[in-house]
Amino acid sequence: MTGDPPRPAAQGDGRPLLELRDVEASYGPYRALFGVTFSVPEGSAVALVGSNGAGKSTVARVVSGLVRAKAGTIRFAGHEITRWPAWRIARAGLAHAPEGRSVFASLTVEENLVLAARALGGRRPNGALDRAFSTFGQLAAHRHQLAGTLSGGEQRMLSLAKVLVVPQRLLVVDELSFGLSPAVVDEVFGTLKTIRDAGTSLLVIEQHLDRVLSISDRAVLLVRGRVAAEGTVAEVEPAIDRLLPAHPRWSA
Amino acid sequence: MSLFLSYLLPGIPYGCAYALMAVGLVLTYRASGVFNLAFGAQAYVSAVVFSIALHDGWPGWAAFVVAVLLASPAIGLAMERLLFRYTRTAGPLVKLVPALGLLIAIPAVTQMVIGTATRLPSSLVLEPWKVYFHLASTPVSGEELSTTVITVAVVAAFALVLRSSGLGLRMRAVVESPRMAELSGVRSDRTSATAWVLSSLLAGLAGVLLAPLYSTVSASNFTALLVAAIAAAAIGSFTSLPITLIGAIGLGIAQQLLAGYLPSGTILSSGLRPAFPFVVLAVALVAGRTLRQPEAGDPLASCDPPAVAFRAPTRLTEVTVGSRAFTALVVGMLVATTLVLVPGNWEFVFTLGIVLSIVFLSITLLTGMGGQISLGQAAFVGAGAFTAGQLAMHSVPVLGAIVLAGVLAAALGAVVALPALRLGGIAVGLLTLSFALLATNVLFLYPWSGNGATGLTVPRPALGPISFAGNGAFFWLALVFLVVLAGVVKLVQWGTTGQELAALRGSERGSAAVGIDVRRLRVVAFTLSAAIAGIGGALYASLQQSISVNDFNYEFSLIYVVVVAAVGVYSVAGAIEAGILYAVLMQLTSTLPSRYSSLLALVFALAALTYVRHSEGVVAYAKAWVLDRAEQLTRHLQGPGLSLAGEAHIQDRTDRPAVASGDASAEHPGSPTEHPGSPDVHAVPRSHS
Repeated sequence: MTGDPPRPAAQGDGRPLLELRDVEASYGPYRALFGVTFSVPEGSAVALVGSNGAGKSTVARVVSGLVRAKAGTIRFAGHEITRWPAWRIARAGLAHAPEGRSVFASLTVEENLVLAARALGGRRPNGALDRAFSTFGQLAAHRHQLAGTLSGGEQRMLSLAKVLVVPQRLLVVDELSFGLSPAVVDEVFGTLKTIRDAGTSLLVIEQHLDRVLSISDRAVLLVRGRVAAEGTVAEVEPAIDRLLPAHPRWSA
Repeated sequence: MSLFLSYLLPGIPYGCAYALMAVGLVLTYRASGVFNLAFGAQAYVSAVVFSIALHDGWPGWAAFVVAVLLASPAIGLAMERLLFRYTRTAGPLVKLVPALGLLIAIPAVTQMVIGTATRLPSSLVLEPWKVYFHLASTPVSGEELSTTVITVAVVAAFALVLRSSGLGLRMRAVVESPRMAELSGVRSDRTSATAWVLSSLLAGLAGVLLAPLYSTVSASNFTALLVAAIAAAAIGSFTSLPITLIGAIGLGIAQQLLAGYLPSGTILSSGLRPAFPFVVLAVALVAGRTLRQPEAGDPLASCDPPAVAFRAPTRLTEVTVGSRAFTALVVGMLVATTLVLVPGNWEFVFTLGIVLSIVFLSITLLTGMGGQISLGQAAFVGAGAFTAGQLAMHSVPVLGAIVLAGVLAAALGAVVALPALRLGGIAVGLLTLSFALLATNVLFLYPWSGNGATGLTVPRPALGPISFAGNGAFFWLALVFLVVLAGVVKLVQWGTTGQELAALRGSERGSAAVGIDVRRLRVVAFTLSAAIAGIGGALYASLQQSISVNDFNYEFSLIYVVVVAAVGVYSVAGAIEAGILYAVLMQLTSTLPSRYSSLLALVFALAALTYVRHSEGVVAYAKAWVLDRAEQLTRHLQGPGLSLAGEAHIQDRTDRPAVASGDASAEHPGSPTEHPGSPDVHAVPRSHS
């Protein structure tokens, strides 16, 4: 147990920002989530960990409205959002950067950002664009390039910038480091810290356990579609060691 | 100069109507990836409604509101809500088949509602035939003036709205990935519905504006209009609205110039004008930036439940044997009734069904097995028929002529396949459609080929002393051809080529990546398919004994695809069922009054709409349903204790907790129950405590 000491959870108004209760989900006949219950306190960073196929991405999709929960309730910022369509959840301040290629490849970098700024934050995207380009400096050089032609790391940066052109209350990121070199992973995680410091809560899905636990206050361990452990990072770590022993914890 | 102008000016209003349709096509294509061929039908409906309303004494503005602002957009909205929003992430064939079905169904329904009386068109704003002023001594009529002004204004307004409201940007995002667009706060449903409503409005406007250019309001005029619009959209690479507008007007002018300067009274001058948009389309498709869609698809497609496999689960032996026995019984009864019981003309009907089955086999091979869309099969059928006719006229034995017809059609198929090589998906369909139109309007009119409307006569064949002159004898001959060709298609399907075709249908890039020569394979598929279609055509010619270009009109190509897709495009049995069913229904509906003459096409067109949900075809779906029930019943009769199969098995696997082991190392990724399409799925839940 040599991870960074967990930071104390930031205290909000007492109610969690995001709350899942007994959430079930399935893809056709294939069931993916079985009564998932956990919460993300306001201002905190929560790591969602588990092996491949444990249901992590499904949790992200259910939360952001891409996949509709079959049962259970999801509350976000005081609203019950279980049956809301994805665009409404996005406009309520819950951003989701899905795994894999998650930018519009046929749109330019700037169009990707303008699209989100207009849809999420009203009609005048100029200020939002300037903010995005100052946070994600290297994107500014490529603003008129098609997003599909960016490198993998730049695409991930853009997918973060896209959901953050307008300030968000919660950011759900899925497999941020997928397919990226270690140096670029460092950079992307640095950006996550910046985002959190700016006041956005985080729900982070990640295979690189050491990295994600080092920036998180709390952790949720999913095993086969169920929550096996939830709590502060220190509380959950024994369960992770027990249930995910073969995991490359310390590989970068 | 004034002669030139007098040819040029009348082309502009045509070009404008093309432009309105083309802009609408580009809009829906960019917002939903659907190439909405039904626009032609929507334009027709608007023109009909407008003309009826005016004749009933409505004021012009009210007729305009109902015809253009309500009727066509309502149809467009219904199409998007009920059909095409389910095809957003589907392949080109799934998007095409329902659009084709609607192109056929909407005029059919309209005709049934309003009857077949000739409708005179009415003009929109100005007096249509009044000459308002002269431009370089060329008269400019109200029709020409109003069409041009309205088009330019409307297209400019659309371009402005798309740019300033961000709707254009949202549409491009939604067509790439509706789900990802939603994550950016875009209402994908509303965006694509808006695009459909706006573009349908353009189609309706085009219909009302264009109607006075023709003497009567008839659906086929609007199909021709659609094709010109497709050509204009291709000039603009299906993206640029300004280039589309310029291209459309240029096309309208070029058509008029051709008609003016080509020597009159020749086949070229009368045929090339309607076929000209197809020439432009072919050139634009082959030479221009390709329509090839990125194969990457929606990155969030895995949010959908995994697709159900077409192949039925392994059935109980009793059910398999039972269904085969049933099939044999039905086939035997059909043959027996044909030969013994039914009156003479039913022999002809079933023989026609067999000949059509052969034609449909060519679609099974090309589209069902290889995933290549051809909207021009009628051209290959016609080529085969006319080859047989010409050869028979030069005293080649008819049986030999039928085989040679297949050879010539095959060569033609290979030639058409060559320009199609660099195209993908829907573009191949459009290219073949343009070829079919060229064939109908130009190629088949010459004395050395189809001999125009007069046509050719083709005798029934004979083999030594055996004559196939009677319908009963010809039935057996056709059946032999069908069995041989169906066998060939089956052998192809089971062999290496069939596997490669299946790979090509799945993914062209993936096929290339595993070492398949995709170009060669496509040429092979087109050649084989054209050969089968050609033989079918030759048999058709010999069956009918007298054929003309009208038997092979390009519109039949569209109906063929709709019929086969509706019944079952993936199997040889589907082609045969489609052929027999089509011939029988054609006979049954032949006695209906003329306003119901398109009932047959309507039945299949409506069936084709189910392609969105059941791409295996209505009949194949029904068969699977019946067999499922039979299997359940058999199991029920046999009692419990048997292993479960198919859907029931999946349900069983997912809902029953496995034996808890408590051994964490068992939870390694890639367990056999994981589904490849949805990475986070676990089929075997287990308590974690």
